[in-house]
Amino acid sequence: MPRVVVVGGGLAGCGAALAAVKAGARVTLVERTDMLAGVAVRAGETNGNGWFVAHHELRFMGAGELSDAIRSIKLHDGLKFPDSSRHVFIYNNGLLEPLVKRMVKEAGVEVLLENRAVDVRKEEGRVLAVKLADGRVLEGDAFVDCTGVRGGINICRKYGKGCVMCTIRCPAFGDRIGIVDKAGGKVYDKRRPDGTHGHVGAAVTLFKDTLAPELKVRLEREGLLMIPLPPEMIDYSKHGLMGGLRTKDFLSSLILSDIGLVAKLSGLGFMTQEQLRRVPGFENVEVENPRASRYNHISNIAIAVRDSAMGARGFGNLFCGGEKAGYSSVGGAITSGLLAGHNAARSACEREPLVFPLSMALGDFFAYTTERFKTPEGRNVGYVMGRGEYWARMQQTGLYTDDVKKIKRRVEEAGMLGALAKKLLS
Amino acid sequence: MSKVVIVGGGLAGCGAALAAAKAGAQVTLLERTDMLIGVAISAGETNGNGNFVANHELRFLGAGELPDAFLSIKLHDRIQFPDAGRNLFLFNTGRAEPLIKKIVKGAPGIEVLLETRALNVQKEDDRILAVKLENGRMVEGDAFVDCTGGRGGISICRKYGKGCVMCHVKCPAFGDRVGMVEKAGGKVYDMRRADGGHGLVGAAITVFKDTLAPKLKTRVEKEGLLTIPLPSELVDYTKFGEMGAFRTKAFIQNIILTDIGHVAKLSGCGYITQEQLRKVPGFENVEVENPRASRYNAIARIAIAVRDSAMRVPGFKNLFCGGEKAGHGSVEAAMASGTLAGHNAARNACKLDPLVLPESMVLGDFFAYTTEGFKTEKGRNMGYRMAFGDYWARMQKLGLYTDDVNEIKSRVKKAGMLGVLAKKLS
Repeated sequence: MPRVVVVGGGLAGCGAALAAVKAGARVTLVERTDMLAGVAVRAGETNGNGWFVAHHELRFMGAGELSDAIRSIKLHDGLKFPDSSRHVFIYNNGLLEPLVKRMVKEAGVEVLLENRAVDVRKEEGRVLAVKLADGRVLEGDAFVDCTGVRGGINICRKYGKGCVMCTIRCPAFGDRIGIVDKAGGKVYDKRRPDGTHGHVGAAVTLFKDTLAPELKVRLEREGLLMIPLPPEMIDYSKHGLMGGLRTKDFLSSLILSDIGLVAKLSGLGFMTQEQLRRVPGFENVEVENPRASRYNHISNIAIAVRDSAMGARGFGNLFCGGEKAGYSSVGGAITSGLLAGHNAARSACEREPLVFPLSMALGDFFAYTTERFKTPEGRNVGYVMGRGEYWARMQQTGLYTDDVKKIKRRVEEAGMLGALAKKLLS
Repeated sequence: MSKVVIVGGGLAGCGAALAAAKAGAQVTLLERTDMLIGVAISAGETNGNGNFVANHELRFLGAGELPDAFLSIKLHDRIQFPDAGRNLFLFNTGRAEPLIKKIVKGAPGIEVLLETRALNVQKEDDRILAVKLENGRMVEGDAFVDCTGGRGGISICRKYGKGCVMCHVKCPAFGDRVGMVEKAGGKVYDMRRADGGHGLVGAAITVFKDTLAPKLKTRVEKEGLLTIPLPSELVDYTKFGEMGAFRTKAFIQNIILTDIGHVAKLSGCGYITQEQLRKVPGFENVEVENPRASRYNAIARIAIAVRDSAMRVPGFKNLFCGGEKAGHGSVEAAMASGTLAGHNAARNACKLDPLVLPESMVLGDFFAYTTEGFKTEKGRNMGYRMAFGDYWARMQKLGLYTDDVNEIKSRVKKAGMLGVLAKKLS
């Protein structure tokens, strides 16, 4: 049985593991902490605008489990964010991790929690095994790097004053180690306008019970509140720090959403707790994440150079997904992770990797962004289907539609119906 | 005007600052994070059993601001813990920090320097001249108080447990705890676990209330405290010694769950992992807020200073300590020892002998008894609490416990101590 090893148990790693198992591989998922779902445990909103199409494409390709699971824990629906309004919903973040953990375990993936991959063994153009912190060696036919691009604490101290552990647990678990980097593959960091490495994590989460009681009640009822910032606190110069993914509305207002166990402020990852306490209703607020004073953790460090099949350049059997592949959103993590996992299984069966056809939104998205990531300017843009550059393109090219039948027909015409649900060897 | 420098802005440091300022000193309070009150942000309970007397003594001594502050944010009253029932109340933990920050900043004569980390001391023979900050600045003073605590940093947590202190006292990106007593060359010791391991495991964990089963959340918010039997396979008496055995075995057999405001707290289960906890009915989807490490809360009780019952560090003319640094880990003992240390630092700066509280008062007996106790190996590994255990038994035996406030007042008066901490020294 072909053997696939996935490193990193965030949403992308979970997607990769599920896809590889479905394709018939024996899969080991290595996660350094005790939790799966990674930074998605504080993500909240999803499905906005173009992601709706991606979700249905996944379903028609036979790999809708993860995005269906997220739908099953919907908390608020029909929300109007300033930059992505159609189809958006917020899921209950507190329920995500246990749910995804159950799914992955039940699918037959061998999940090694609190196991940290620290190195690789390789020969020319091929990874042979990953080495764990406890000295164990995991051999495999193909490998997927879903180790993400945030922290560890050295990066956070060096390039900001943040710390990633707020979302992905304590640094005592040990810092992130990239497998592509260890194999000698090419990686790059995104840069801020002043040239500093990495972006600042854009959101801040708060303990709901530390908001003014009437604010908490309103938030839990409405799901999303837009509270104008006092003018003296508006600082548009911070936009570039966070990669400029969001519109400037996110700098002039507190975009506060209820994501379940905590509340989330989108687009203000630079704001300190002391500053926030000057806003009416926030006088006693305690920030849950970041636990550092200023700047959320540093993200977009060590993104892998790869092709549109998620293969890391220079290796026949090394793939990457999620933030490691440059996609930092729930939708991006799931879709790229699934493709990486599927292609790892194909590689393990000595098949050519699958590239999604350009007639599908996901095919165009991966092809377009892979090209864009080749230029220094393109690398510093964040690509999501919910807003910004790619959302504009999607509408222009006609790839956006809210007609589910049309999405099905496109997948069918591309010959991709159920393509991710088939066992490769039988 | 005499100048007192306090390092560490936890509850003890806040008490020290208020007391020294009240005695007429010009005070600088240095805190490495952006928050005051330290680990008290997840304390929750106060005033139980003997602590009731201690809190009232502080009031009659003229230093009631901090106990009064907690009283003003009472959340649940008349809470019956298995080992400490009388007069105990739970406070709204999310409110404590902003409230006490306001009190300390508003007190005349206190300069609060947040995000300011003291790294070293400058001394001449047995006199401390200044502390040196991370940014190179020297802060000179006539007397100094070390309230840097006894938990973390992360290197300690990784070495002696697998925990991380940052959950309580913010991100390691702020920089690890640095003790001034050690830097001055003073004597310190670690508490030891039953197996000889350094430090104790922080005994409590906190969980996001919204990740409890909805019914359980409603009940704990209504009743304040719930006692939930642990499934027998999770009961592990061997863990008792790891947490210093301050509490009764009821805390090992049960989940003692309290609502402390923005989170819920489990007392006495500091070693239970999130995965284990999820096996308990109602906790299936729980997310632990603190620790963010997988196992063991913060390692506590590291580098406790050897000191006398006036909180002075022997071998130095002008160095004092309070709170966990002085061996006292409860809310009340932190406030009281910090207050005494701050007052005595101010006296020292005015060339007055330090005040020792008379043994006819609970606080006098408590400090005298524990100071003696800490001289022996066995005593050093005891946690002395006025609410339960060894010292609570002593207090009742000696007749020092009373719930008659007039009686407490008359004792303080008889000892000639009424309002002594409220007087300007010069």
